[in-house]
Amino acid sequence: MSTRVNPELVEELSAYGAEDVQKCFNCGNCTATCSLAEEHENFPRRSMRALQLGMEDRLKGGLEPWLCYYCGECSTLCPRGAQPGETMMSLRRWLTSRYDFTGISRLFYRRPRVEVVSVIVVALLTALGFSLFGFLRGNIHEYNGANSFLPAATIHIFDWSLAGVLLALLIPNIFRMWWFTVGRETMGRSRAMRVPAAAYLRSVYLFPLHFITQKRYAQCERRRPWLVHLALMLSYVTMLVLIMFFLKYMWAATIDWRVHVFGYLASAGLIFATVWAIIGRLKKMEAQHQHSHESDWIFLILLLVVALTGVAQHVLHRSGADAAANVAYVVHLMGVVPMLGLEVPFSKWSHMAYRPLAMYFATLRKHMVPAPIPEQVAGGMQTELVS
Amino acid sequence: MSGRKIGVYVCHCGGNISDYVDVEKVVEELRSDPDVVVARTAMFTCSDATQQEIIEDIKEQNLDGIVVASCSPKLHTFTFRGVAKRGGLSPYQYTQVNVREQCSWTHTDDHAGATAKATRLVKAGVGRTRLTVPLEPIVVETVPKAVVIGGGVAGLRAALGLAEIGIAVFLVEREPRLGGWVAGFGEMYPHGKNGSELVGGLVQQVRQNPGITVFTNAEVTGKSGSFGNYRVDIRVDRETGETVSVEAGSIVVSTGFDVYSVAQEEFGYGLEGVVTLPEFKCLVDSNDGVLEYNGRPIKNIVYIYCVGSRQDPDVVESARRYCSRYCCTAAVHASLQVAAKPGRVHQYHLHRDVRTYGKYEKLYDESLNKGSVYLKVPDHEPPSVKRDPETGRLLVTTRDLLAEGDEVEILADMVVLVTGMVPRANEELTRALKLPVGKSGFFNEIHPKLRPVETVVDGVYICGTCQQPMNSAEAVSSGLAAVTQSASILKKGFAELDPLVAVVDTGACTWCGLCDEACPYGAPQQVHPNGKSVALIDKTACKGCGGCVPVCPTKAIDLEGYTDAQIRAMIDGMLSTPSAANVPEVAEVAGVTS
Repeated sequence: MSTRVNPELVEELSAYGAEDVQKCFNCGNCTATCSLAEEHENFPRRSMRALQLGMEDRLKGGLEPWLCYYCGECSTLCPRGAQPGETMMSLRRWLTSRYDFTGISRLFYRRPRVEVVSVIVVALLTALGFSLFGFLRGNIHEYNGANSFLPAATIHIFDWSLAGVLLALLIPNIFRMWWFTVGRETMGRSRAMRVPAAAYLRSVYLFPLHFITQKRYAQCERRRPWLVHLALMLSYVTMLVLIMFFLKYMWAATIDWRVHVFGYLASAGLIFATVWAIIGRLKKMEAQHQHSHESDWIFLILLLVVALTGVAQHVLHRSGADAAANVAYVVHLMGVVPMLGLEVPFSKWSHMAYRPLAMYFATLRKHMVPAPIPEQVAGGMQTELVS
Repeated sequence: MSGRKIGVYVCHCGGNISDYVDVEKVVEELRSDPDVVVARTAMFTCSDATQQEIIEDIKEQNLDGIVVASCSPKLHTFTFRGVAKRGGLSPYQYTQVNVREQCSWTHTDDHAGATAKATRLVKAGVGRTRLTVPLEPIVVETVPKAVVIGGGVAGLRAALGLAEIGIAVFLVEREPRLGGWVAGFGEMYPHGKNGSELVGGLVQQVRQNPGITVFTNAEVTGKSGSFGNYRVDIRVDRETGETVSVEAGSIVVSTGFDVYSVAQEEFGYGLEGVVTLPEFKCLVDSNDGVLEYNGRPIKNIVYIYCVGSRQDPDVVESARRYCSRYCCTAAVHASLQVAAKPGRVHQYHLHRDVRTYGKYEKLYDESLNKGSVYLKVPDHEPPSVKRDPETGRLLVTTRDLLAEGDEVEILADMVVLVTGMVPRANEELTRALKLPVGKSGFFNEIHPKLRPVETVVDGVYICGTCQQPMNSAEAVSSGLAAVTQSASILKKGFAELDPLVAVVDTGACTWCGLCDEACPYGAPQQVHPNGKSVALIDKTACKGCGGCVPVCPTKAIDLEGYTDAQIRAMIDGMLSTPSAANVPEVAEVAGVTS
């Protein structure tokens, strides 16, 4: 099967951050030093080469970029300064845009200004919407109770609706990811390959496992980036679970330590990890901090705003400054809504789903075997379709 | 017993010889020969101290011949000839015996046999030396004039170089104008200078130089005379066949190359948009704007390297297996010219290996930075080029070894076949000058490293691309090397040649002409002293190969330094009975030496 090359691909990728691909002369030092590369999933050299040549289909159908956690050793050791680590990062952005059926992701990555403006517009609309809602039916000086400015029950309904929209956006994208990497070859017109159904079932545990532990990251040369990443991830998930399922405890007048201790820990984790990443990127401390795409900054800033305003709201409310707490709450929502509504489906945050899924799909690919050619078509005209 | 006084020196070569050959025993054997008055071993015979000892022996013992048994004559013949000369002996009364490459190194498992063989070899050397006579080098006067054949960049520069040091030059060019290939080039690597301007300047200087006579539309048709004093026939009018004849001490051949001509359908040649590198270069040089072909802008270019070079004998019949050397860099340079033009052009280089050697590597580096993509294609599976039925563009299919040999398809607007150099058709000149032609069809030098522009024909030098593929800078360098070589014989006014040449016994000779037929150098000439037709060997043309000696039916020819008597003496030496017991049979030793 020959691949037709897309000569524009390298230029296209430069919008996603890969600027030095052409410097690579394929020595393979990057792959040799990578502790995650395997014989089956051989990167970054293989991905670099496919990108250099413009082998678009091969890249779109590959999972290598998701299997890389960007420790940056490859970029540090590259004798040509071709930045393989950053190329893998850029390929993740590019793949995100390919999985996204709406085309919004592509627009955001290629024109970061559009993303910034969208975030601001959504934030302002959120502020406007919730302020109107609050002033019309409640009192700015009341945080909870009958006349509260933003009652918990209403917000909770809003949270769940937002989650529904999110899933509606994310699930088709996940399906597309599966289609490009596993489905097309096994279920597509050619059906040249086959994955046993048992493999689907036996390996499905990989998704939650990698989602929660990110244990693959721990195999990288340096452990610290994994720990920071894990702290951020667990804090975020804890906060999400608390808000979605335990909101009424958070809201209550008294502090229930059984719940709140998780909230405090998660807040601390979020703030620590975000500040760490921002300082790292500003000072370019580590290899993975050398290059920052606009989408990285937007994501970090939103996350920090959300975490800080969440804390502020809590502290103000507990110290009796209900009006200030309500203002902090609105600002908090101004961060939450664009973060969940734009970043999760269309930008950096989507890797939360794609990366652990990639572990699952990669295992399915390992189980892929050539499909037996059905007897009635063998040797006939239709073999052309098969081959 | 002949009353000769011969010195024999057997070398240890620091163990290279003495670890396997009992050198003391060899010396002991030789002492029994009454003509051997000095026989000794030395750790390193070629060392200054031993050389000095030999010189003292020659003077004190009045030696009239020396034998050194050491390494190959290729290494030290001239060293010990020098020793003989410094000792006051004729250099040609020295014999070198090879007991290293042809004895100790080949018989490491049989010390006794190696020792016996070394003894026989040295005895053969003594036998030859016993019959040497003092010979003097042949001195020839040289004419301070030179003929330069071919007016390309190498020939032009050589002509100017010769004229600058006061040697009169006859520059012969087959085409109607001077300049060669380079005159047709635009921007050239690595300096970005324009080829036609560069050559234009040279042509102007050549034309203005009173020491240079230019013949265009002219060809060299014959050469007579001998080294240092040739007479060269130049046909100056093709139609009338009018020929002029000039005197020259040396001849510089710089007849250049031809471009490999691509066969129809080879890599799709013949399809619109498939061009050779020289054709492409013309297209690139001809305008500064957007690169267009037949009115359409070119967006994608595919270069296919090694077209007509490094051909695989399994794939191509009568394959040209050499590398043309200049083409990788030329193609990379052309791609940089394209990259400098307005508009984005995607360039794919399908190569076997990128041989942008030396400082040209920087061009390769630059082209990578400018976005060129290099694909290493398999040797046995050349890329295919055809017209894509859907898009109407050219479709190149190949495998990239760096992408695990996956097949890739590239849609291109232009496919450039990076063609190599082939030798020019020059049969008449080759015959006239008796130039040696190598396997690939280019002219051969004597030694690629040490005598890179000399040929086996004394005074005839080769330079530029008639010798092997090279770029213009290298061609000019070799042209100037030919100038230096010419100067070394022409400026001194005379040259010395080895006297180891054939001589004719005119009493025995009946001129049958067989020797003339056997001689590759045209040395035997028919002369008529006293009304009898006999052969006379031109000492300056003879190379001492000995090819004429065995063909002479009347045994009238002998080779100085290797006379029949000397060869017989060497055989006698080989067959002599060693005095010591327990040595292998003669037949065994002979079997090893043959």
